[in-house]
Amino acid sequence: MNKDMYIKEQNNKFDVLIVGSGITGGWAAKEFCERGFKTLMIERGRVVEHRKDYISEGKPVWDYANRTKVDNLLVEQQHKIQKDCYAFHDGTKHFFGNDRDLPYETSEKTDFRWIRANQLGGKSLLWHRQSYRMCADDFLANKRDGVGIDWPIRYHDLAEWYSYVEKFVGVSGSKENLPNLPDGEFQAPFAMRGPEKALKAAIEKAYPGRSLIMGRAAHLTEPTMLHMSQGRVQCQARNECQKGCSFGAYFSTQSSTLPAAAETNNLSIAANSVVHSLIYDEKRNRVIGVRVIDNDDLSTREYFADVVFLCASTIGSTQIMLNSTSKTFPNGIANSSGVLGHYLMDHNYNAVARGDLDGFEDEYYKGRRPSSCYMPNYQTRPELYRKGYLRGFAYGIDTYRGDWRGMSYQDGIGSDYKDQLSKPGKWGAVFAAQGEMLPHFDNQMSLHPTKKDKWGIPQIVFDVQYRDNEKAMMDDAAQLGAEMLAAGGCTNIKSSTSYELPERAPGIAIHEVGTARMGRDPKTSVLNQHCQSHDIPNLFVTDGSGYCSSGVVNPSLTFMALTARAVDYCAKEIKAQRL
Amino acid sequence: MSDKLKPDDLTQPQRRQFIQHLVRAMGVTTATALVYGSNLNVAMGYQIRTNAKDTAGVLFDQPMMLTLKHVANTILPRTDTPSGADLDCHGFVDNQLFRCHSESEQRTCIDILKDIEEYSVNKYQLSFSQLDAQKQQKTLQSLEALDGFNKFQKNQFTLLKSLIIFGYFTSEVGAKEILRYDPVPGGFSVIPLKENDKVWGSLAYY
Repeated sequence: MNKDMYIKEQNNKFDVLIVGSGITGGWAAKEFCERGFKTLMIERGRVVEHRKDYISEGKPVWDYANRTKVDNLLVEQQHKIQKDCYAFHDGTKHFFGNDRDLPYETSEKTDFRWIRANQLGGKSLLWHRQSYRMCADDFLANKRDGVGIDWPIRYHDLAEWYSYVEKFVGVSGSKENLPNLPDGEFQAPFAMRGPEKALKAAIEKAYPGRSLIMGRAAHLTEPTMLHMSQGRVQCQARNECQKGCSFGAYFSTQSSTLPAAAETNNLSIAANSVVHSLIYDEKRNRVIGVRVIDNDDLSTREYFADVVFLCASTIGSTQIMLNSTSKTFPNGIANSSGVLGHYLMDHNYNAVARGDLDGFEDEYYKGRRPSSCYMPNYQTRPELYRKGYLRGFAYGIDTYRGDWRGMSYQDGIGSDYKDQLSKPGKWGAVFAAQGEMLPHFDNQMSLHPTKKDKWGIPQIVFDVQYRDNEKAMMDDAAQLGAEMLAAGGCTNIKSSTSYELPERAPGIAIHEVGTARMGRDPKTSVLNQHCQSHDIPNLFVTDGSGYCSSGVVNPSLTFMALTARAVDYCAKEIKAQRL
Repeated sequence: MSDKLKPDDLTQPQRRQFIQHLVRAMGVTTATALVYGSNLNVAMGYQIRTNAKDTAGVLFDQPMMLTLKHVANTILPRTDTPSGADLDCHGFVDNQLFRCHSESEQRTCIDILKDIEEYSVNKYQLSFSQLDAQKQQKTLQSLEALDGFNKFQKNQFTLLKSLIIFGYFTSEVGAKEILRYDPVPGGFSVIPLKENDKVWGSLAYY
C-alpha cells in the first residue's frame, strides 16, 4: 500500500471528508475516489494493513497462552464489555476496543453493550457477513403500523444499489423468489447438510409461507475477475474470519473497498484521528471540516473539505453530531428536529430453541462453513402478524454433529468414553431468533453533562430497553422454534428467552441503528431520503443512524447500498453546485 | 460479571506471582504491558511440563496436583492414544483455572479434588493416587452416579472434567494427532462418515 496515502497534518482542503473506515466509510471512500474526488478517510484507531496485521491468523489453538481463552485480569481491566461478543477471544481481541479507554454509562435499571472496533476497517473486520436485502414490506411497516415515522424511501429506491454493491462485495446465496426476502446478485450458496435439507422439507410442508434456505453471506464462492484482481480468492471455509483473512475471501474494507479507493490515487487516510466535532460555518450554513484529537498524544488538528460524510457507526456518528454545538444548533448539529439520539434500536436476538436429531449417522462434513441456514421473517405485514405483538423475526438455523466440547459435560469415565470423545456425536439443530425492535423515542443516547473520555469528548449515556413488544415476540419465537424442531423430527427440544437483564442487553446484537433517522419532514427527522441532513446540505450520515425501523435482516448490506446511493446523489449535487 | 475474578480480589502475592510468571515467559516490558495496559498478544501458549505432578502448581498444591494427575488419567486413560496425564492435562488445568476462571470456579475445583481424596481415604484407606486403576475408575463413576456423592459435587466435578478434556483436545497432540486437523479446508462439503473416523480437531471456536 502506498505510504503517502497516510497523512497527519494537512492544510489543503479536500473535496470530501469521510469519518470512519468500516463498512460504510470504505464504501463512501471507494465511490468518491472512483468519481475523482480528493477524499480523506478519517479513522480514530490504528492502521490495520491487509494480511500483514492479521497477527493471529493461522495460529493453532495450542499456541495461544490459554488456548484462545482470554486472561482474567486482561478481561477485567480492558474488555469487560467486549468479552460479551461471541467473536471475542484471544485470537481476535486486538480488533476489539479497550473498554478502559472507552467509558460510557447506562441509565438505572438499563444496560447496553457497546461493541467497539476502533481501527482501520472497523467492524468490517469483525462482522458476521450475513447479507440480506430488506424487503418491500420493511419500508412500509412503520406507516402500516402507525409506529415511528414512515421511511422516505421504498424498496425500489434501493434495489439497483443492492445489486451494485452485491456484485462488488461477492455474496454467496441461493435465488428463492420470496416476496419477504428479495433475491440478489449471488455467487453459489454454501452446501446444506443432510439434516438441514430434511428439516427444510418437513417444515416447509407443515408450515406454508415459511422457508428454510441457505444463509446469504459475503464470502466468495465463485470469485470474479474483479475479485481476483484485488487478490481475493475463494473462501477456504476456515470460519476464523474475525482474525482477518489473507485470502480476502470475505468482504472487508481491507480486502475490497480500500484497495479500490487507493487505486485511484484520490484517497488519503488519517489514522489515529479521533473526531471531536464538526466545524460549522454559521453564515454559510455549511460544515467546513472536523476537529480531531490525536488518538495517541491527544494533540489537536483540523481537516477541511466541501462535504462531510459521517460513517462512524450509528452511535459514533451521533455522538459527534451531539458534540457539535453552535448558536444555531445548541443541541447538536443538524438537530433542529430534536430527535437526534432518540429511537435507538438494536436487533432483538433473545430466543433460541435446540433439539437432537436422530439418524444421518453416516453423514459428516469437511470444512467449517462460515454461514448457517436462515428462515426469513414471514410476518412482514399486519395480516401476517401473530397475536400479541407487531412485526416478526427471522431464524438463524444451524445443524451440527456433537463433539467433545458438549460430551465433556456428559457422564463418562475411562477408555470407552475417551474413544467416544474422539468421534462425532449425535446431530443437533438450533433455531436462534433474530427479531425486530420497534423505534421508541425514550430508547436513546445522550451526552453526559460532565464526564468525558480521555480525548475530552463527553461520554455517552444510554437509556435503552427491550419493551413489551420485543419480549412478547421472543416468547413466541422460542415457542415457534421448538414447534418447528418438533415438526422436523427433533427430540429433547429445549427453548429459552434471554431478554431480561442481566442476560442479553440491547447492543449485543451489534446492529445498532436509528439515532439520526431519515424522514420526509425536517421537523421530525434528521436526514432526508438521501441520508443528507435536512438542516445542512453538505452533511451526510450513511451508517445505521438513518434507519426509521430496524427491520429484521442483518443491516450491513443495506448500509452499503444506502452509502453508495448517497454518494451518487451527493456527487451529482456537487457537480450541480448545489452543496 | 459478579462471579468473575476482579483485579482487586487478587491478593498482592497472587498479583506478584502472576507478573513473575509472565516475566519469566516474555520479559519485563511485555509482561507489565500485558498486566497494566496497552498491549496485545501473549507470546506463547502454556508449555507442557513433564514434572507437573511433583511440584505445586499456580493454583493447586503438590498433593492436589498428584490427585489431579490421577483424575485426568482415570477419565482419559492411556489406550492406543496418550492418557490425560501424558498430555499434562493436570498442569494445563492448574494454569488455565488460575488465568481464565473465576475465583469461585477455582474454589470449585479445589473442593472437589479434596472430596475425591476424602472419599478415597474413607473407603479404601488410601490416597486416590495410590488406588489401582480399577478403583480409581469406580470412584469417579460413583461420583457421576451420585453414589456417595451428591448432585452439587457432581456439578463441581463436571467443571473439572470438562477442563481436563478441553486441555486434552486443544493440545497439539490432541487436536492434530488424536483428532483430525485441517486448518485450511479449502471449502465446505458434505462427506460420508466411516466407522472409526475421527471428529475434527480444527474448530472455529474452542
